[in-house]
Amino acid sequence: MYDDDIRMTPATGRLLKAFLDDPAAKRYGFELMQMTGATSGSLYPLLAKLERAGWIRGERESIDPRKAGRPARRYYMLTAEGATTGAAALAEFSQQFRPASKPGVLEQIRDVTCRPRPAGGIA
Amino acid sequence: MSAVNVVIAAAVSFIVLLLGKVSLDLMSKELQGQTEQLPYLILRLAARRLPSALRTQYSEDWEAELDYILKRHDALPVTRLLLGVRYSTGLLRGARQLRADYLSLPQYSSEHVPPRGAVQSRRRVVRSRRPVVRSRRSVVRAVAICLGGQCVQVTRSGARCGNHVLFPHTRCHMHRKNFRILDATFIEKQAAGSSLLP
Repeated sequence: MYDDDIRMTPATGRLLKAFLDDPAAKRYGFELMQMTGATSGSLYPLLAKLERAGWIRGERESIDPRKAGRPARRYYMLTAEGATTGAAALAEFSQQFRPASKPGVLEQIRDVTCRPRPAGGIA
Repeated sequence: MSAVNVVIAAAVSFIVLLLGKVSLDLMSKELQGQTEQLPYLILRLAARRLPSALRTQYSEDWEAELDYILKRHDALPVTRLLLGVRYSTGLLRGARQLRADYLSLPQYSSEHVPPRGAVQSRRRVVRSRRPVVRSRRSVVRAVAICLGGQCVQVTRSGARCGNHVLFPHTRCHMHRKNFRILDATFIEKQAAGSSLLP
C-alpha cells in the first residue's frame, strides 16, 4: 500500500509512468506536460505532492544564466523510494482497471463473434 | 502638370510610403513586445496566489520554464505565444491548488491570515485544535445551506457563515465577498445537524 497522501488518479499514474519509463532521467515541467498531456495547473500540484512524499526530487539546473542566456530551470528526478513505491502504486492502480480473467472467457467471446451465419434467407 | 510637380509628388509619395512602412514596423515590434509580455503578466498573477513561502521559488521556476517555451526554436512565434499563454493560464489554477495543499499541511496551518477587506474580530474566529485538512475532506460536494437566517456557503474548498468563517478561499455568493476561513469545527457540527451534507 502506498502513501495515503498520494491519491492515485489517472493523472498521477501518467506522471509516475513518465518518471518510471526512464528512472534516471531528469524531467522538466514543460517536458512532463508534453509527456503526460497534463496542464500546468494540474502538473505542479502533483509534482509538489510527489516531492513531499519523497518519490521525486526537484533541483535547479547548475548553470550560469548569463552564459546560458536563459534562467536556470528546475528539473525533477525519481528517487529510490519513488522508484520502488511508485512502481508498486502504479501496478496496484492499474490492477483496478484490469478485467477479471476467468477461464474460458476468451473462448466465449470468440464463439459469439465468430459464429457462422445461418444458411438460408431470402433468395 | 509640369515636370517639377511630378517629381515633387513622387518624392512626397516616396517619403510618405517610407514613413508608413517604418511606422508599421515600429508598431509591429511594439505590439510583439507587448504580446510577449502577456504570459509573464499572467504568470505573475498566478504567483501572487501562492503563499509567501512558496512564491519566490515557484515564480523563478515557472519563469524559467516559460522562458524556455517562448524561446523554443522548434515552434513558430504564434504557436510559442499560445503555448506560453496556455502554460501561464493553467498556473492560475495550479497556484490555487498549491496554496490549498500548502495551507492544509498541519505544520503550515499557522499561515491562515485573514485577507484584506475581510473584517473579522478575534472573537468570531474559532480556532480548530486539529488540522484543517482532515475536516476539509469530509465536505465532499458543494452545497449551500442557511443557518439561523444567515448565508452559509459550503464548498469543496471552504465554508463560511455570518459569524464563523471556515476553511480558506471561500466566496460568499450572497454577499459577493471573499473570505478566508480559520476553523472547520463549527461548520462540521452545523452541517451534520442539518443533514444537508452528504
